[in-house]
Amino acid sequence: MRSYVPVLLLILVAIALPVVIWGISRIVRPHIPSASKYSTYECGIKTTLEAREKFSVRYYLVAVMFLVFDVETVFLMPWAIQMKELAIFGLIEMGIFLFLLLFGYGYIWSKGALTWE
Amino acid sequence: MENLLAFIGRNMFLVFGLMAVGGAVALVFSKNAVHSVVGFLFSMLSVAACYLCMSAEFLAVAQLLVYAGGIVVLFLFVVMLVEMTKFKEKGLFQVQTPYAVAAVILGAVAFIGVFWSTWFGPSAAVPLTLSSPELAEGLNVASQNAEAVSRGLFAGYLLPFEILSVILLVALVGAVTLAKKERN
Amino acid sequence: MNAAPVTMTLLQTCVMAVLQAICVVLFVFIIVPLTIYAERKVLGFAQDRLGATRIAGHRVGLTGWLNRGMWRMGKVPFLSYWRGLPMLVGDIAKLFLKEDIVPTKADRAIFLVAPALSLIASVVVFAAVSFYPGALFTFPKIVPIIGGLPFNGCITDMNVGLLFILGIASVGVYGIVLGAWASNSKYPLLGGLRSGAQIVSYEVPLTLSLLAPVVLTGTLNFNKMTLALATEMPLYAVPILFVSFFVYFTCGFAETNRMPFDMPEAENELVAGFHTEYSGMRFGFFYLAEYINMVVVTAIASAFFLGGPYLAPFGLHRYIMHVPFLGAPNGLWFVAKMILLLFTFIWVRGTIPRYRYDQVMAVAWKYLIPFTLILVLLAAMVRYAAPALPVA
Repeated sequence: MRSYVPVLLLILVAIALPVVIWGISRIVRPHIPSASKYSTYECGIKTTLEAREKFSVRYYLVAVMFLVFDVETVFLMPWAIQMKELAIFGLIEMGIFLFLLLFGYGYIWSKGALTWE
Repeated sequence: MENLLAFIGRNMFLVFGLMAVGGAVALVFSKNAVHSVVGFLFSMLSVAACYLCMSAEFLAVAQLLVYAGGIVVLFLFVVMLVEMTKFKEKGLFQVQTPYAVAAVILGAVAFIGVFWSTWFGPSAAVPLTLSSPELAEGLNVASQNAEAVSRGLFAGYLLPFEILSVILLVALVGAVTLAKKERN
Repeated sequence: MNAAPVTMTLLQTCVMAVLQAICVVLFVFIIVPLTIYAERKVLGFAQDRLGATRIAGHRVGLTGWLNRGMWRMGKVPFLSYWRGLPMLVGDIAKLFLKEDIVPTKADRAIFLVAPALSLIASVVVFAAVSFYPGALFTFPKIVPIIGGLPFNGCITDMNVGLLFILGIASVGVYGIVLGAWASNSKYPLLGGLRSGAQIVSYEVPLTLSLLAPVVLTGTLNFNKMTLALATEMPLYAVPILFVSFFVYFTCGFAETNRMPFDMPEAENELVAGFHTEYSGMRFGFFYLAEYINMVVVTAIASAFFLGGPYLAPFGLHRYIMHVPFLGAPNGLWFVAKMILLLFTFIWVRGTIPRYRYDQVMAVAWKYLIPFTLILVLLAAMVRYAAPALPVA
């Protein structure tokens, strides 16, 4: 894959970028440690309880819904670029695919999964 | 210099493959679940690069979008949601050991089957092409990767594609049902 | 326009790629500080004040003297508009000179890697962005190794360019979520989760809104898409492109966590969101990444909806195609449109108040997704109906 060699090199340059900036700032910045500086921020009061607590299950739901629609768009892309060639056959196929998905979309909407409380 | 670069280019697959394995090893052996997810992400990105080395552009970007961009996000959210410390105390993960062993054995059998057929089966050393010649008509499969995938998917594998939408539907409904149960 | 493909040796490819990568980095490092400065100024004007003015000595030099004179005459000195310019340098110097603080409870490794990941993902996206179709200039023969080779307007002209951009951009969310988690503090964690959920939610309508141009052009190649969208669209595709542009740009605001969608940073609720615990250069990476992401969003909007290097937006370029100069593609148009859109980013920030989080999620899931699906359907109808549309 000759045309992807530049991409690889851009990735390497992009990785070098934060490393270099980090290195420079390491030389010039001060370092004056103190205990309160390294404590967790909580509006100036003493930290209570753990931060990593249980979260709303909604975040999980959003991630699953995103995943389903993400897969859907990945399948829509090849259909979109070959639409003219696949002609009416492809349209019916994608129609069935989208209908089933929209059925699920309607279902989760009716169950209130799209409403953030 | 040119020979050296060409040598590196030929062995890029090996490099990315090893990186993928390294990510997977980190995933399995790290004590912290979020570190595992980072290993998983690294592994998935390397696999995308492996696909690129094999001239499968479309598959590589699909891997990026679905696995690196979607599934790992789901994993990360789930790992962040559950309270790991409490699970450890209750020993909840130990319950799953026999299922895990069964899944590993099943997976191993499937993998050996796939390898067997690619190494010794009739499909060995077949160049990148579509299942039937009329599908590939007017298409340069090597350079028009996405178009080839499209034709293969929508003309060659019609039924699996439609079944996939049912699977997605099940995933949606299942997630909502689980989430509702969790809240009640 | 597209010169005959030049065969390059691997060494030439590598040297050229590194040069282009450095150019991308330089471009980013010029446009991002300018945007930050413009943001201070434009927001200032939006709020009826002068913005940053105090950096260059208030009383020294020629400008100081002129300014004092104008103040005395009871006029706002016009030079004040420019006096904040050294703020550019001041901002960068501040990021470099701040102490690096890692909270003791934080996860050290991920705390460092997360901001870098954000930055890397936002830079790598430029691999598929094409500023100009074909060569910008040719290196003179004297230059070693790459003499006589063209310097292209894009790093690589890949066939699946659009999907590559979306794929790499979707990796950027890990920087935010992992950084928030690694901080091990309440505000960052809440901000990061919110931000993660928001970004993934808006990724769906964003991709779908870009699907309409893909349907209309039948290709994923960046250059081919730009060309076809500018010159080969039937007139009835114009409204579809216009509406997709609006949806895309809205999603762009949400993806980059900008006002009115800056939930992760809602400062009166979450302090500073996911980067509350970050300081110095680590914070700088997040800051940079946010602005680079803005640049990327504007670059894509510029290329696919505003015509990119072709002057007229929304597929109207074919009417001025044969006008001399204006009809020819020009990289300057591309950058000019980007700057216009960057200004819009700041303008919106100064104008529209922040949404509530439930409203943000509802906009993505209940309105934009069905809306964009209808757009794709309409685009498909246009594609079938238009006999003149070329098969890419």
